[in-house]
Parts: sequence; C-alpha cells; structure tokens
Amino acid sequence: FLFPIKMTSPRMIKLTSNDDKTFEVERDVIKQSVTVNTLITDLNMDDEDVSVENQMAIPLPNVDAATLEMVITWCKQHREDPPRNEEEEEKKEKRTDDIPEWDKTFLDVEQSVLFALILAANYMDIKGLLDNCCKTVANMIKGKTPDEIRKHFNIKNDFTPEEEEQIRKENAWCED
Amino acid sequence: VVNTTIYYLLFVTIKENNFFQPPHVTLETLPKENVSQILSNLGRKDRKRVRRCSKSLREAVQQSDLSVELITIGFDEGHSIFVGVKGYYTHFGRTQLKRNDAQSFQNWLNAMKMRYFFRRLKCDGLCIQTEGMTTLVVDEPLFKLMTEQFDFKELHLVFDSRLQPSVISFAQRLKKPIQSITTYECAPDPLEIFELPWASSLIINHFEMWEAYTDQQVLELAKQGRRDLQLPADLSHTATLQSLIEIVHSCRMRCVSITVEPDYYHRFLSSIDLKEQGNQFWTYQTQVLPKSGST
Repeated sequence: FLFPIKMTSPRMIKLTSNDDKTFEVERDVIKQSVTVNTLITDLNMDDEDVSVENQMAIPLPNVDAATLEMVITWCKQHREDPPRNEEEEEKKEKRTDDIPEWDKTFLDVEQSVLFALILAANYMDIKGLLDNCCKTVANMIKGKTPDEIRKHFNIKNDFTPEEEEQIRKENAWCED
Repeated sequence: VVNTTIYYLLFVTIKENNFFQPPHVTLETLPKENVSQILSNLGRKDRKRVRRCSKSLREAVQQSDLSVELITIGFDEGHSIFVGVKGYYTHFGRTQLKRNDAQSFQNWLNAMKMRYFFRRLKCDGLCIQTEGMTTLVVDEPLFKLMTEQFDFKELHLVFDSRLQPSVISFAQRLKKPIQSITTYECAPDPLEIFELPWASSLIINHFEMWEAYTDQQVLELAKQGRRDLQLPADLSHTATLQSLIEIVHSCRMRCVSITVEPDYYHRFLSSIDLKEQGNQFWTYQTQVLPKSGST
C-alpha cells in the first residue's frame, strides 16, 4: 500500500533587526535563543496556522542586521547541539581551549563585531554563543601585559602615576 | 535641483560612513555582566593584569565576584576541617573524617555540597595546610582527591617539616604547579605567616595554634594593620574569647570569624553580645564591625 506522504516545509520565523532588515529563519534553528523561543511560546505562534508571508516579525531592537545574520549562521551550525544543562556546565572545569574549530574560525572577526555578537547573544540569551565569544575575548587577554592589553583593546590608561604605583604594589607578589 | 543633489550626496556620504551607527562597543563599554563573564575565564594573574589597564576595568575585575584567588583547606589532628575563602574562614567540626581514608573526605565534600560550591567559585589557588603530624593529608589518595576536586591552577603547601619528604613526593606527582611550600618545625610563627603574600586568605588555624601565641602578639599583628585578621575562638575558653573581642574592638578590625560549638552556642551569644549573623551551628558567624569599632 502506498500512503500519500505530506511533505511539510520547516516552520519559519521572521526576525527584524534594529535597522529594519527582516530575516526568515527556521523555527528549529532559532529555538537556541531563549528570548525568541519564549516569545514564540508566549504568543502561541507555534499554534498559528499562518503563512510566513502573513506572519508577524519578531523585532529585535538591540541587534543590527549584520550581527543578526551572524547569530543566525551560528544557530544553524549548532542546531544539532544537545540542549545545555546549566548545572552541569557550572560544574565543568572552566577552560578556554575547548572552543570548537568552526567557532574559532567564525569568531575570528574584528573586535567590534565580536563585542556586538556578545551583546546580541546576551540579549537573545544564546548561552553557547555567549560562552564561546567570551572565551575568545579571554584568549585575547591571556598572557598579555597590561600595556599589551591596552594596545590590543585600544584602552586608555587613566591611572595617575601614584595610582599605578599603588596597584603595582598590590599586585607585586603575583607578577612574573 | 542643486539643493536636492547636495542633500542627497550628503545623505549618501553620511550613510556610507556609518555616521548614524552607534559608537563601537569596546571591552570597556561592554555591560559589566559581560565583562565579568569574560574575566571569569581568566586566572588570577591575567585578572590582575587587566585590573591594571584602566579604572573601569579595575572596577570590573573587583566586581567579578565569582573568582576566588585562593581557597585554603586546613586539617588539624582531629576531625576538624577549616576552609578559608577571601579572608573569611569556616570551621567544620566533627566531620567524621577518618585517617588515611579519602572516601570520608569525599563524603564530607558531597554532604556539604562543597564540591559544587568550590566549582562555582573557581579558585585559582589551593592551599593545603596541615597542623602537626596530620596523617590525613599525607594519605596520598586524599591528597590527590583534594587537588583533583578543585579547579585551581596553583598549589600552596604549609606543612610540618617532618612531613616534607612524603608531601613533596605526592605533590610532585600532581600535574598542578606548586606555587609555594612553607614548612614549619612545630607550628608556624604568625608573624612569618603574615609575611606570606597570600596571607589574607590564610587560616590562623585552630585554637591550639592560637593558644601558642599571646593576645599581646596578636594585638601587635593587628596594630600592624592586619584588618582582616581572623580570630578563632572557642567558648570553652571564654576569657580568651573576651580578650579577642577586646582586641577586635581596639584594633577596629573589619571582620572577625568565630567558631562556636553547639553546646556553647547560646552562652556564646549572651556572653559576647554579638549580633547573630548566621543560623547554623557548625558554620561561622561573621560580624562586620563598623570602623568606629563599636558593635
């Protein structure tokens, strides 16, 4: 017997960036964003039988189009990741050498882009992305002297010489 | 037409140059919670270097409250365990630790949910301190267990010199770097301990050790500006406790940690008239004194 198989296309969700660009993304992909996921659930958007054309777009006022595009790319790449167990994550040893290779390449971007991603991941509540972004920045800091850190992140030294001396004294025992 | 063209060109120029874009986010302008998250991935040395970069980053590092530089675990010759974190210490009595039994320590860690607690705190350093010829710490499985339990990068050891060969031998088999080794003949001289760079977290351990020094000696230490000096006391020695409280007051110390055994709990509260801050017998009560020195 042959039964007709109904081919259903994946459910799509519309997201609008703060510069008014709209993106269509698979429901299954964007579920990694706790913020978006909660909104979809709260608004019963999963139950609505509305075509994507007529669907209300979810505004993301804190995320620009370029960043949102990157966030979606990241979510697509990690759509098969098992759900995170926060309690387990907390128990794990903190390390920064466990960023997956794909993420390492993906996050090899200008600092401003990386920081924008941190803000977006934080706002959209995507723990995996936020973690890996923070680890990437931490890796940029590791092993650098204060001068090197300032130079790398374009930070102005606003300490007076006296304050600097005071901090140097406080830190003296741990300096190499 | 000319005006329109000028306006159009101006618009295009501005748009192309992103003049409408908000200023770029930098490490300094990131929200504090994100900076804290970044810093939580760094060890003590890196955090201290970040602290030296600018005022805002110094503040961020200071607010990075999930980082603990050193946890001290002290054993005495009985069943007590002392845990020191960030200038505070806690005494755990009657822990049912057994000599040469790593499992009993593991049981205690689990019972107290200490393992989870320490993981959350992410300590960079672990100091294992022993008192006298403690056999517990020279038990290799226990030693290994302790060092494996905690996410630390450095190890500080304070131990009786008579234990030196075995402790060093165990420590060398661990993969963690040993940052410092301090040995003492009998009990460490408090003045020497306070000269150690990580003294702020060190436990001035146990009543027996306290008894080895006069109140006057501790008073001298306090006068030298050791505002975080921790003063253990035991209600069975009320007179000493009373003198400790007087020292605390006279030196305007910022904090004092006092260990109380349940039998003496109420007596303790009534005798020294300190406001109760905790509600568990076997933990500690910390009284933060105002700088004026009055309770």
